[in-house]
Amino acid sequence: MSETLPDILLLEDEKNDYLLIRDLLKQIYGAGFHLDWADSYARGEQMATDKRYDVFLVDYQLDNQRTGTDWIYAIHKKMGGKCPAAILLTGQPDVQSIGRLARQTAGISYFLTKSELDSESLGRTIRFTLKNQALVRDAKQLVTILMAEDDPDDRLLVEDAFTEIRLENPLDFVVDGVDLMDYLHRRGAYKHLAGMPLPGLILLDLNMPRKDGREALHEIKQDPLLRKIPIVILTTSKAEEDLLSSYNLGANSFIVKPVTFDKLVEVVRVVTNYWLRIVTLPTIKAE
Amino acid sequence: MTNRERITILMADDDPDDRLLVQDAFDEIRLANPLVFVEDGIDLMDFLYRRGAYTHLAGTPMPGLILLDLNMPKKDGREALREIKQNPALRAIPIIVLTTSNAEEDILRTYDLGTNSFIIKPVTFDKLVDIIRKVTQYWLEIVRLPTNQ
Repeated sequence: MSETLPDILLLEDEKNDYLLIRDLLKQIYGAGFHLDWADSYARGEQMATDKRYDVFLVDYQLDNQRTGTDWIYAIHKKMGGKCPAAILLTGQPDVQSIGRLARQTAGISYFLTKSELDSESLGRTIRFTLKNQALVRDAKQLVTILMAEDDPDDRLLVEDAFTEIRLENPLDFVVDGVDLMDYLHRRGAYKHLAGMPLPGLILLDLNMPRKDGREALHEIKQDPLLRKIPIVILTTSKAEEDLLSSYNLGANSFIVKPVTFDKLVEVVRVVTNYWLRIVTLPTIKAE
Repeated sequence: MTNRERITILMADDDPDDRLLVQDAFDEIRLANPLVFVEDGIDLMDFLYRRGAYTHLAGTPMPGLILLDLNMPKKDGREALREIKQNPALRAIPIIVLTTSNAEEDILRTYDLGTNSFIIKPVTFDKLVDIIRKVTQYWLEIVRLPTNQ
């Protein structure tokens, strides 16, 4: 970006709205500003990866199947910390639900309704976005959530639940207790992770082949380095014995896997909100 | 009966203003679970062992959740945490350290000692209410607590 002229990508399917915004930007920046226009989800994806932008202006109503927030979530997940912030534009009258959605989606700094759009509001919003971006970008260090689960369907369901709540943290999977310990010790198939920060939270199934969750839990909570990592047991087992022994072995929480996807989304939402926003996690330096 | 209706929440904090604020926060979210306070580490251990001033509680269910401040006189929270988590009769009780300390060393050490969660006390009442709401939602509605013995 030059000192005063940001590189902007506008994702907007309606040509008239593109022209309107282009004119507003002309009013704000004069001639010579850099605006690229993507008229579809796919085109936007392509352009966002081909070129470095300073800010995205994204229309909420993109096509029949996907929204602007879907696009922002996907790009943000792909690009991670380097992703430019997005300003969500909406023609929809239901400002409260759009606002709620915007706040839940990682990567959105502001949202504007098209009816209130003028050169002043747009100019100010872009200015604030660019200003905050510099502060926010380096501050956020996203912890990885690790899930140990032998059932591939259950892994997929949890992954879907994370996508549903728009969580931007990396989610890694291991398939049994041996895999889990290799991952945590950065050995075997996971040698390449040596030196990387350990996961911030472990979701642990109890019933797994090769080494079950109970044994892995015991091992982890005995290890001076690993035992600081919070472990949430997430299991189908309702056995009283498993409940008590898990807590006795040092599990931080015990949660029974819900049976419906909706309930799973709710559990994932509350669990991640609690551990990532309410709780302070330990920062464990890798060995 | 669900956790929500049954369990007592125990808070250990030496600061009477902080105790009051948490009490107010629980009222704000309309939580009906019994909320009991102890004022220091000795008081806390007496309560859990049903001794000293608390012999009348012998035979009654243990608290289902403990909110623990770290800095307390007579016996601080770190020491109490260690004692509780090393005692087979007590260590299953989930403990949430709720403290003003954000020292990295405190955070690491309390997780090392076995605290179930570490939460930094917020500065405003609104934020405290929000935290209490999220904490109780998590521990009383989503999580299964170990049953009282």
